[in-house]
Amino acid sequence: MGSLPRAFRHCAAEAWEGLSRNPGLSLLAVVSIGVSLFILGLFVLLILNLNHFVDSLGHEAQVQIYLRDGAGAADVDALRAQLRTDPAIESTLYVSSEEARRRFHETFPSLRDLAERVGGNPFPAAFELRLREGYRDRDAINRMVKSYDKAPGVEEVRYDLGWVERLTGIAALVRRGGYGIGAILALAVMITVGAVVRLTVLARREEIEIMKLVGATAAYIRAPFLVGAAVQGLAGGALASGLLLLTHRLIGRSAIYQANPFMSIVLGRFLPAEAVALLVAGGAALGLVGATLSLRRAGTF
Amino acid sequence: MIQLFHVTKKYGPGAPALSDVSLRVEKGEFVFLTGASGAGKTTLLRLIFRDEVPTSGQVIVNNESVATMRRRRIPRLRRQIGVVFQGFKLLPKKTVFENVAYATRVVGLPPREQRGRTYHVLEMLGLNHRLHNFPEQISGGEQQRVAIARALVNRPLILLADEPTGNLDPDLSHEIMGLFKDINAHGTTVMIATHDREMIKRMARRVIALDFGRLTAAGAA
Repeated sequence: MGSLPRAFRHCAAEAWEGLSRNPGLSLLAVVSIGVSLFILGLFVLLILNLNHFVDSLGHEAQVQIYLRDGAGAADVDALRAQLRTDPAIESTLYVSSEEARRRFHETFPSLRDLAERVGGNPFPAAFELRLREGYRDRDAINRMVKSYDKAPGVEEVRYDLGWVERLTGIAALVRRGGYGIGAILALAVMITVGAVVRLTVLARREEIEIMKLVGATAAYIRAPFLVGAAVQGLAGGALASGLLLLTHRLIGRSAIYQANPFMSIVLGRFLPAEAVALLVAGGAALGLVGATLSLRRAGTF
Repeated sequence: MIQLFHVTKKYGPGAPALSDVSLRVEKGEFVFLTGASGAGKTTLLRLIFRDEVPTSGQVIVNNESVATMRRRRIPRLRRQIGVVFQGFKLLPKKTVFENVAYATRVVGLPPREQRGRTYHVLEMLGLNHRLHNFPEQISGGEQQRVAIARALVNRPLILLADEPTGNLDPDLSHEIMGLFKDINAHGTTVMIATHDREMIKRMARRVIALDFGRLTAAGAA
C-alpha cells in the first residue's frame, strides 16, 4: 500500500475511533448540525419559492397602451412601428376593440349582457406589450409610460407593476432575514462542532501527548479530528435534507395547505438537487471550519 | 551528538531547575545522568527532545539547535530520539503490541515493517507472551519493558531513559541494563537518568552528576 492510501486509512480509522468512543457526543453534534441546517434549509425553500413566484409574475408583467376611440389608422401604424423598434419591448400584440369584447365575454360569461346594456363597444383597442428582461423594473416602466402617454392616438398607458413590486420587496426581506439567520446558524454549527472537537481532544489528551513524543506530525494528529468533524457535518446535512423533504411532504398533504392557495406560493416546490447537495456539502464545510478553529485554539500540536 | 552550552531553565520565580549547564555527549557514548530527586535530571532530558525550551543557553542535538528549531521540525527530531519515560506513558486502551506498533505507524513505516519491527523488539525484550494484553494486565516491570520497546522500535540515534529501572527488581534491572549496553554497542548514543548508585558503579561508564540544577565537579567531564 502506498503512503497516501495508508494516510487515508489512518485518518478513517482514527476518526471512526474518535466518533465511536463517545457516540452520545457525536450524535449530539450531528443532531444539532442537522437542526441548524434544517432551519436554514426552510428559509432557502421559502426564498426559492417566493423568487420563483415573483419571477413568473415578472414574466407576465405587461404594459397596456389603450388607444383613443377615434384613433386614425396612420396614428396606430406609426405607434406600432415605434413599439417594434423599442429595445425594452419583447413582443407587441394588437388587440382590437372587437377582440377585447370577445375576451371579456369569454372570461366573464355571466356578464355577457352588461356590455350590451352600456351600449356600443365599451372596450378600447390596445397594444399589449411584453417587456424584455432587464426592463421590468419601475424606472424602465415609468420611462415607457412617459414616452407613449402623449403619443398621438393614445388614451392611456397602464401597467400592473404595483403588487409585483410589493412581492419583490417581501421576497427581498425574507432573503435578508434568511441571510441573517443563516449566518447565525452557521456560527452555531461551527461552535457546536468546535466544542465537540475540543471535548474529544481533551478526552484523548494523553494519547495526543504520546503521539507527539514519538514524533507524530501535527497534520497526522489533526487530520482524524478534521475528518471526523467533516463526517459529522455531512451526516448533519443529510439529516437536515431528510427532515426538509419529510416536512415538505407532510405540509403538502395537510388540510391547511390544500385550503390555502398562498401555501403553494411559499412552499409549492422542493429544493432542487443542487441546493440539497449544497446543504450537505455546507454541513461538511462548517464542520471542517469549526474543527480547524477549535484545533487552532487548542494550540500546541 | 548532544551538546549543552550554558543552559539555564527556570520554571517561574525561585531557584532554576538547571543553572548554567554545559556538557557534551559524543556519538555512540553511554552516559549516566545522576543526582538526587529534583536535581534537574528530567528537565535536562526534556530539553534534549524539545519537550521544554531553555530559558537561556543552547541545546544542540545531531548538529541542530533544538531550542530555536521551528515547531514543524520537532517531529523529525523526536524520530531520532527514543525516550523511556518515567511513568511509562503507555496507552491504556491499546494492547502491548499496539502500544509499540503505534510508534512505527506514527512515523509512517509500511504495515509489514511495522509488524516485523514490533514483533522483533518485543521478542528481544521477552514480551512475546504478552502481545495481546493491556497495560493494566501486566506487571510494572513488564510495562517498563513495553516502554523501552517503544523507545527502541524506530531504531533511534539517541536513547534517553528516565529512571528506567526504578520499578524493577535487581535481576531485571541488570537485564535491562544489559539490553541498553547491547543497543549502545550497535551505535546508539545512550543517556540514562538514574539515582541507582549501585548500578552506576557496576556499569563503569561516564557519569554526569547534577546537584540543585548545577553540574558537580565529578560530572564536569
